[in-house]
Amino acid sequence: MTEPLSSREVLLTRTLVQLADTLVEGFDIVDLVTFLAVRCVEILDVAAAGLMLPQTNGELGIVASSSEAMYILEAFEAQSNEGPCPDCYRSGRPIVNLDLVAAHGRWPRFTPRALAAGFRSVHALPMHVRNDTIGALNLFRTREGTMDENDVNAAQSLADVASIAILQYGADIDLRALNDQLSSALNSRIVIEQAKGIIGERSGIEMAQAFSLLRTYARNNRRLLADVAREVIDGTLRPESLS
Amino acid sequence: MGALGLYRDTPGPLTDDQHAEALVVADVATRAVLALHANASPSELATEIETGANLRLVVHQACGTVAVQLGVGLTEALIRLRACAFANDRPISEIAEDIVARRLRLDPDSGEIYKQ
Repeated sequence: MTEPLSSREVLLTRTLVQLADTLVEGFDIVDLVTFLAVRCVEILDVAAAGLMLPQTNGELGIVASSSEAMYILEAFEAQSNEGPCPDCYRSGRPIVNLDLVAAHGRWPRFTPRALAAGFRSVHALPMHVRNDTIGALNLFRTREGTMDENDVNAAQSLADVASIAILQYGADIDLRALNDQLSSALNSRIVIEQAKGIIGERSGIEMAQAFSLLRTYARNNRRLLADVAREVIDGTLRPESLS
Repeated sequence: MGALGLYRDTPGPLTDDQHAEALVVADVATRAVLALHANASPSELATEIETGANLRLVVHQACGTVAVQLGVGLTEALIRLRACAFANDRPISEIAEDIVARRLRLDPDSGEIYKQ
């Protein structure tokens, strides 16, 4: 008799199936990788997950995060050119179970900020497309202890699915070069942030809630997050209509 | 957002009238620059957007917030954020954090308003 799957294994399987279904149907890249980041936190027993992609100037930018909390976004953004994500991205190799307390001096600007945010260890898994590394999946833990091998493998699988998603997204909307696909995902993130600011000010709510409203509206109406954001920006869609 | 430099070949300070006129000229020049940016063609704004692509997310959020506060478009909102940063000698990301955290707001009539 085979052993039953643990609840986390069930969640991982379900996540991979959901991702596969979404890739076939046509999808919103920011919504998809946000879903992935949120699932990482649920499956892998980490405190925060984020997906970093290279910007046009070569620095890494955040395209999705498990949380919109400012201190978490900052921990990802602090790695624009220094930290586990840039190292992982440049080398194409994973960084696992890196204890931030012991890492003094390695990343003099990033490490103190990550520690100040309450993080204790960090991991970065490369997103590969054939022989290239196109980005990195960044994970933070707040507790001591190491991530076990099963979790590391699961994390790499999720990073691999994110890579496939980006390629598929480019194929869907006919972006030929990989760079265009990466830029498009990052630019989508920018208009979403701008729309969050507009909604937050008009409706008197916090950024995280504004993101939630945008995302729910986009899903309910089967529209791309970035398109909904653009309509908020150009005034076609009023913030009051989102809830 | 910048500085107007005035030079002459005789030493001494400006009279009150000259000072007042200089402030008017500076004001007109500022409005002209803002108007140019607002009406600029996409290629002229390309540099602005290109640099904008490498800003922190909080700056983009603050652009949205300030656009509503001042009743302007996003490009002008970014310029006003830059101007505020320049005037206060602080990085734009810090100003943006203050805006998003509601410690600071920009008002079309009163300028910068800090929460006490």
